[in-house]
Amino acid sequence: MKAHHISNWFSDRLGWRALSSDVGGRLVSARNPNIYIGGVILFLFATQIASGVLLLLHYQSSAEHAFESVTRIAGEYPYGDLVRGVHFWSGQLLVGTLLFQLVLSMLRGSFTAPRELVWVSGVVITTVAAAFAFTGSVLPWTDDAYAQARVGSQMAGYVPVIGGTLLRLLRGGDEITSQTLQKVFGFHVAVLPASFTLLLVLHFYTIRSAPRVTTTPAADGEKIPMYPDFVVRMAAIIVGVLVVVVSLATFVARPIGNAADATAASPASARPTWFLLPVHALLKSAPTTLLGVDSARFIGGALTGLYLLVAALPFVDKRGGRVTTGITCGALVLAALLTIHALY
Amino acid sequence: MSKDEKATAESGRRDFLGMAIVGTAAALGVTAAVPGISFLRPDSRRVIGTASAGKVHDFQLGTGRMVLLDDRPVLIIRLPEGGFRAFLAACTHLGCIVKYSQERNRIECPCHRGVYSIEGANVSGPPPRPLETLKVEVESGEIFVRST
Amino acid sequence: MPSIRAIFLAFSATLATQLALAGPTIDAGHAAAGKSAQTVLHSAATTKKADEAPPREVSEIDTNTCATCHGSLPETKYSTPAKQFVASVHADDRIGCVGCHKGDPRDPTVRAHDREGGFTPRPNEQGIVAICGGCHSNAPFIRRFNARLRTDQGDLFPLSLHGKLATTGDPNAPTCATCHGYHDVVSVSSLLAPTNPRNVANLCARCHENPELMKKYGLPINEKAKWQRSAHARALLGGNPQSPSCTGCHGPHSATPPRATTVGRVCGQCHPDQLEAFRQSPHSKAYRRLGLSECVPCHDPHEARRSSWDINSSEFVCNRCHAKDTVQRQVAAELSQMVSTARGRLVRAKARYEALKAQGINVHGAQYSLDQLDTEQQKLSITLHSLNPSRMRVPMAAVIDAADRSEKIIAAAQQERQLRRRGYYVALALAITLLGLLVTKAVQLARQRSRSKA
Repeated sequence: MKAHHISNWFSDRLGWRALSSDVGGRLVSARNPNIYIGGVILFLFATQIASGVLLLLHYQSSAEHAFESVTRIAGEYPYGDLVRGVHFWSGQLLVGTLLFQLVLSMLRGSFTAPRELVWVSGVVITTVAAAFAFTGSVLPWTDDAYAQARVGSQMAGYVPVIGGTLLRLLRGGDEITSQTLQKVFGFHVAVLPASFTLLLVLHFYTIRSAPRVTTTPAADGEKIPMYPDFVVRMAAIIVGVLVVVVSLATFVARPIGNAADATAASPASARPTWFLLPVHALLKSAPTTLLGVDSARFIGGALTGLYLLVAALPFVDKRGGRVTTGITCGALVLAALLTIHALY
Repeated sequence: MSKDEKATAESGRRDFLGMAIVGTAAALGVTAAVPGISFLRPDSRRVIGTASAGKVHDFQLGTGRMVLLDDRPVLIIRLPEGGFRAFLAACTHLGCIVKYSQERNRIECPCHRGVYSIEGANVSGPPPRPLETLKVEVESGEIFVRST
Repeated sequence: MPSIRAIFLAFSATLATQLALAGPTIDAGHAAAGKSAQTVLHSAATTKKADEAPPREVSEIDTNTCATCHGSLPETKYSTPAKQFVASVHADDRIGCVGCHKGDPRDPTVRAHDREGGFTPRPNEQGIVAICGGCHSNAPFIRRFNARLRTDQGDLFPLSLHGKLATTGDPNAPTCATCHGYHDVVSVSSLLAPTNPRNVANLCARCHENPELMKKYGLPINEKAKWQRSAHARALLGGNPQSPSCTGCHGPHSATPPRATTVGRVCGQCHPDQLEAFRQSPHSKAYRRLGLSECVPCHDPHEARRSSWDINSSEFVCNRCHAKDTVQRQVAAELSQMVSTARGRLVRAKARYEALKAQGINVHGAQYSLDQLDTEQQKLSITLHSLNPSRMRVPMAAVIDAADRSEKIIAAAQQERQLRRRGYYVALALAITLLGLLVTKAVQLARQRSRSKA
């Protein structure tokens, strides 16, 4: 039986040939960075799912066994350290790419009408990715992870209005126990992946529905068909990203650390993940009270406000012009400075 | 070259390129699958090695006791006339845990009424093979069990 | 239904009555803070219980009576003991001042100090021993406070050299209070206690490192310094509470140095296997004939640690007695060779393991086999005491076997790593090839498109 006989058999029953010629013939703009970035994000998410499922099959989510199971994954099971490394690095790259995409959209003003929902869904997607990174770093239950869990849930408690509920939701109670780890695990492997997937679908739907924004001239220009031109280009980029992720996972040694000890003082070196370092810097350097409230609570409230501002950007800045660009650049510089401050 | 020949040559190159791409991608896919599959199949450890099953005085004459050695259930019988027997307590039929019957001095499996002799041989019922025997050594009052 | 006013009046009346009844108690508390001692003693005396015959457990108020007065006196020789006592274990258990000093606690005036009432301000050495022993050797009494406390001190202490000195009335002789403290006695488990195992060496050194004091008795003063260099000190201060300091070998209350003939027995309490092996060695009979102690010629009892088995070192332990070209020296050379081989294998296996760990490889099972190697090495050290090369062959083989097993596991991990590294490069080559092919294809497609547009 020839190859195309088999594919015809399936195509007649699944109708994919019609679908693929329809989708494959669709034209996309060659120079728009968004679709390439989007493809990378999708690929990294798929890698996360694949490596995550592998890890999930060996990880034990109780406080007594978590650290031990991670040690066994890295040391005992074949290629365990590779799987763990790929999961870590592709996750970091995923968050980084999403943040890059966000900043790019802010600078290019592509959040203005009629693309408000595209922007909002994108912000929520990035938030979910940050939540992924945070919950994922807690799972190994090392002393760093435990410290992160303590600080992170405390900060969540400082979100105005819903803070208390959020804290108790995250901790599974008032204190951090084995219950907390179970909740965090449930979020990381079930709630967040499902939300992320739904949000991605929503995001793509809003992109397709909204007509093109005319303030970005780069969106116009050369058009290429989805298949084979765009697919080939995207595949090349994906192979490049794959090489980067696997090389990082192979060559960068990541020691696991020590098991969490609820009775020991938190380690001095405890730091959150890199994208939370600006917040870490603020928390470290702020005076005890700001405007009459605890500085941590103040910062929590301020950050919530900032977040809502960013999410509602299309409604705040209707024209997406130089003001937003300027503020974005300024914010980036500030964040970079704070990050450096947090590290030294 | 004529236009037609050029077109044919080009399409030949294109096909080759397309096949090369698919082939390399498939090979890369295999190298990605190898770690994934090995990761999920840790080596099965056949050997119990040597493990302590407790003190001699914990076992009364003519009784059988179940201990967990290396995550495996092991049945240890102290014969009425002295001496020990040790078996992996998984029935060779479908894996139920067997027990020692003192009255009939034999090993029985409650699930489908398999019967083994005191030496572990499958005497009647569905079990196709004898029970896996383990060696027993007694050293300074402590019982050590080892897979043969 | 009573009116609201009535309910309010009833409630207030009840509250007022309660306050009135509680008045004197509150008042006495305030009084203790600032009023004169007389008034305090007087009011305290009215609520006091009658003093009971021994056991001398007295109510809390009595303790406060002596300590309250003495604690507020300006002279430190009165106030310090009172203040120290508050934090001691005796105060916790409500053993009052009268428990040791006797006297009449009911009397609020200085008549409480009446010697004829039995009051003893400063007992002498035998007095201290009798007072402490009166309770602490009384097992039924002590059991009420702490069933795990020993009650044999009273019997043991007089047998010791310290005890014998105390009986003769020697003012230098230590008594219970010398080591345990007078008024600030705390439990031995507390790190503040001078008798805590970690502090014992410093405690004994208070007298035993004092040159003038020790000269009177003809005793050396270098034991603590030697002990601090020993393996025992390292283990104890490193966290092993079973490792001995002075009291571990000499006993806390029966402080008598083990005799030359009995030193071995003391060491053997913790090191029985080495002692047994030694007693089967040719040294055992030889030492007895020469009047030497069992363990001492090779291991200083205070600076106790491993002897050197390095034949090339000037510290080689056999050099201490045996001349170069003797049969014994040849046996020593053979044993030294075995020891250094075994140690060499251990060091090598550990080094390889550490190197692998530094590369980030967690070698499963290697740690376990290294622990086994350590154990075999220790067994070898024990058998060494028999000084019999033929007896050493079996433990030696076990050490080599364990070392081989460890190194095999480590080597396997290293091989696995190299294999995987090679696999990575294969995958990398494939990926780069694929990348190249895709780029070529993309360029081709672009060229095609521009040609078809033209």
